[in-house]
Amino acid sequence: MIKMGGGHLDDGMLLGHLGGDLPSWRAAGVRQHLSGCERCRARAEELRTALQEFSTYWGARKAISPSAPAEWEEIGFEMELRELSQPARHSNGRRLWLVGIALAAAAAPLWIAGSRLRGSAPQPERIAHAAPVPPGSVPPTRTASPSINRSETAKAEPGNLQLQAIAALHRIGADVSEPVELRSSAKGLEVVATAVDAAREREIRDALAPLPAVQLRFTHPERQALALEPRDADAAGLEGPSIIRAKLDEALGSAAREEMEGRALEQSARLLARLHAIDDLGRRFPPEVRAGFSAEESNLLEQVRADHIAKAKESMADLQSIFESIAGVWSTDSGVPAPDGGALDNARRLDEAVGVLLGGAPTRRSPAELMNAAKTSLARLHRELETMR
Amino acid sequence: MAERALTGGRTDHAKRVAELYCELRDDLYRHLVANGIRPQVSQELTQEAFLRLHGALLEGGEIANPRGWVFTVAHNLAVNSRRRPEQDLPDHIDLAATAEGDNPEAVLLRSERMARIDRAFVRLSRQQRLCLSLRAEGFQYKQIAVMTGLGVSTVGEFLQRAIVKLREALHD
Repeated sequence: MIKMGGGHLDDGMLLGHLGGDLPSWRAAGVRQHLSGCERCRARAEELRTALQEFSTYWGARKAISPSAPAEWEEIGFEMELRELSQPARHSNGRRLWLVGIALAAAAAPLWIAGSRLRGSAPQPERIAHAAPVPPGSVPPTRTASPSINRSETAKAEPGNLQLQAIAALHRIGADVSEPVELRSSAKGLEVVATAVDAAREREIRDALAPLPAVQLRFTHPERQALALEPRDADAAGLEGPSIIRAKLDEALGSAAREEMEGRALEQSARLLARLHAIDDLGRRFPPEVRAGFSAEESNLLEQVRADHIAKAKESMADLQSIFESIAGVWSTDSGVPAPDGGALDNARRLDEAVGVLLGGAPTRRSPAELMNAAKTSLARLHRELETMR
Repeated sequence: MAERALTGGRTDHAKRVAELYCELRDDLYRHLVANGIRPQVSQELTQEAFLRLHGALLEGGEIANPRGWVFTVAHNLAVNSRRRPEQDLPDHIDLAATAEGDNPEAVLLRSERMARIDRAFVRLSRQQRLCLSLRAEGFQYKQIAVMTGLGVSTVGEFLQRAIVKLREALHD
């Protein structure tokens, strides 16, 4: 899905495009947009110039930095390497250390090296933070959308701390689409916020201040990378994005189409985030846990959930109006609808349709088929949200 | 050489790592120093990264991108070796001498732009500086994410904020 603001590509998307970091389906959408949008082309050019100037600066900064000391070669780094490749002779501490490094390989406990660098005793607790993850390895992937991780089911205990923490985060909107995780540990409940800025950190601290039992951590501890697997990345669309866009332009005009694109992509992302949050609450607080809740806790959970449902309905209503306005552009396919897998599955199918029909993503599916999928998903979502308690 | 995958027998490893060491050590060392890491620490990090490369190869690992690998390990080690983040604050540098050309006005202009970028760069957050410098080294979002321990989307955001600040500095 192409992120846009006011129908235009944002700086992040343009930078990803300039650096060749976008998956092919996104890159195609960006190229398509740039071909018809002078404002975004100009912005891309500004960013390209800034990047180029920084590269020049960085090259100069490196060039005037001191060279690596020549004595490195004299002290025989190559000799150390040769030693390492020989069978170990543990004649002294230094050699033992080197052999330890050699045998430890990529998964070595880096506190060995860290202790040398710090000149202090080894600190095994740093292992998880320091393990090198070489490029090309396959890091574990995160769950894509929910901001609060899917932890284990909450314990049925009085004064449920997880619920109170979620409610506190919810009040400042930090339980949707933010890198905030709740983790249960032997010490209790930990809230970990990754890479939030200083202002947001203060807000989160303030929000959780009434819950002293919650441990807070603001850090970048994970050696994980988000999977950026493109959906149908190399698919040759039956009707390419340009044809789809041209049809919409013809029906609506390019300005209205651009405005609608940005709105639809944004609302679809919001809808998915809200449904993920609802799904997460259901997993954390199943009936057997809720059975142990006090009336106050039940009410708190209900409030948080009801708020997510209300926001999801708003997004869905806007998406419905968008799809109604483009309903005449394509006839709908009368094919067999996809099985009903619940609200989240329907939101995902709707998101795919939005991505293709309004976001320029290529696909093997026809616009008519996607329109039908969108229509079916919207109807099901409407029903499901209306019956949610 | 640096982009060639490293595989092979035990006896070849030391030679290959030594070749890579000669080829890349200055590049890596200068990169670390330019990021504000003290020369002595940068020296140790660089050596350590190559020792680890050797260790990984002895364990039978295949290194698809040796340059990316040693940069990653050096940065991971740097995270561990840093007692306080502010230790990595890079110094301002005088780049006037690096601006060359026949036209004095153009040289002055270029020198002024470099100085503006320098002031903006030093004011960036450590993570923004790191992401930006790794970008300038030619690494892509996914690689930078692995090197820094950030998510790919976070890397994108840091880069975006950094570039926007640089751009503002250039247009002030």
